Amino acid sequence: MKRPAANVSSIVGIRGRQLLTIGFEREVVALIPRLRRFAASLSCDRDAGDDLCQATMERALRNRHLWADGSRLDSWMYRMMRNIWIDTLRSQKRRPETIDSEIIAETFGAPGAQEAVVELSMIDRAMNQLPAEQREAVSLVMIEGFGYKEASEIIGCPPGTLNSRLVRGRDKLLGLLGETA
Amino acid sequence: MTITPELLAAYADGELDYEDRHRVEAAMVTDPALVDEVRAHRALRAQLEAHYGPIFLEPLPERLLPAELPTAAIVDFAAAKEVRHRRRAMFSRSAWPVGGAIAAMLVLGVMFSDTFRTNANGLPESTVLALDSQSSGEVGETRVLLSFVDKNGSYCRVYTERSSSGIACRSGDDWLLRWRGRGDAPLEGEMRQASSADAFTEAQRMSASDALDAAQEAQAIADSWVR
Repeated sequence: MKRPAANVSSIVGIRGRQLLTIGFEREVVALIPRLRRFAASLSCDRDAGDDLCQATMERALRNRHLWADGSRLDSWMYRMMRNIWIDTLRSQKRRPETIDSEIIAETFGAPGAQEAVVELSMIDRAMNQLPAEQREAVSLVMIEGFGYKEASEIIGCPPGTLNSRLVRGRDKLLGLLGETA
Repeated sequence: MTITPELLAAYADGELDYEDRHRVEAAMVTDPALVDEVRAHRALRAQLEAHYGPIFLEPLPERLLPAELPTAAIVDFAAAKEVRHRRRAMFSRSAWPVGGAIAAMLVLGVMFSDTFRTNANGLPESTVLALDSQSSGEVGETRVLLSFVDKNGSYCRVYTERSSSGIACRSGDDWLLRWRGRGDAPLEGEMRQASSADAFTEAQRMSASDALDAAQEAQAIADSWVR
């Protein structure tokens, strides 16, 4: 059904609101490649990563009113993605010592995720063996390139804690990649 | 003073202030194991960056585009103008330091013309050497992050160095700088974030298809980047 033609003043009103929306959406869309990369390093495979990315985009668009204009949109969205990922791990298994990547696959994995796992590279497999807190530290600093301060703010821990998790994760990765190299 | 692994990692990531940096460097002089650890840290970082970088060039699956996106395509001249204004303000603020740096480089270039030898297109020889022969993810003064083919059918490579990052493409039988961005070292007082993200985003705009995989890249190196 066609919409009735709007009068001039209502167009201005809509345009005004759309301006905010358009700017926000553009910036969110511009962040997708970076968010996809972050999701890929957190999740066990690319499909699961894209599912996590989709969940993050949907939450960001739904919660745009909570974003304080002028603050860093990238940090806000990284934090959101990280929280969705952690929530999923927790809701799937309440025993933190058994957190592993397959839980994400079960939740976020599209059909075919199992086959995709087979094609994982050495690096993907090594990343998947890191405990969640080490994996996110390695990912934010070594892949996403955030400083310790920004990375610790995204995670919500002191920079010193981030620093030691990073070192433990790095050592484990070096060990795993060294063994198979 | 003991150098903890945490302090050393922070050093390798460029997180330390002047005093701590020199403390670590003094310890590295007498302990080669520390040098190895820094090198391993940076090599891993380069390896991870190169492994996940090609994601930038992959086409986006439709489900990742917000349903409301069509409204974002409406061209709004006022908004576009505002963005341009902000950009211009940003550039004019940074114009002086950049000009100063260029002037300093010119002076240095005159003084140390041997160390700063460039190719016909003005790229430093050390960068050209890396572009010619280095695989993506190898650690070095110049780190190549990604190789791809642009819309004109030329090979291009994304690289980063301490002071700048760039995208160079084949032009004839040489490399031509097509895009330049900031480097690995954070500017004083600047919020740290992914320096390579800008370069990857630009590569995504320029590329005709996915990034070259390791085998394709090795072949291109063997063929001296002739297509």
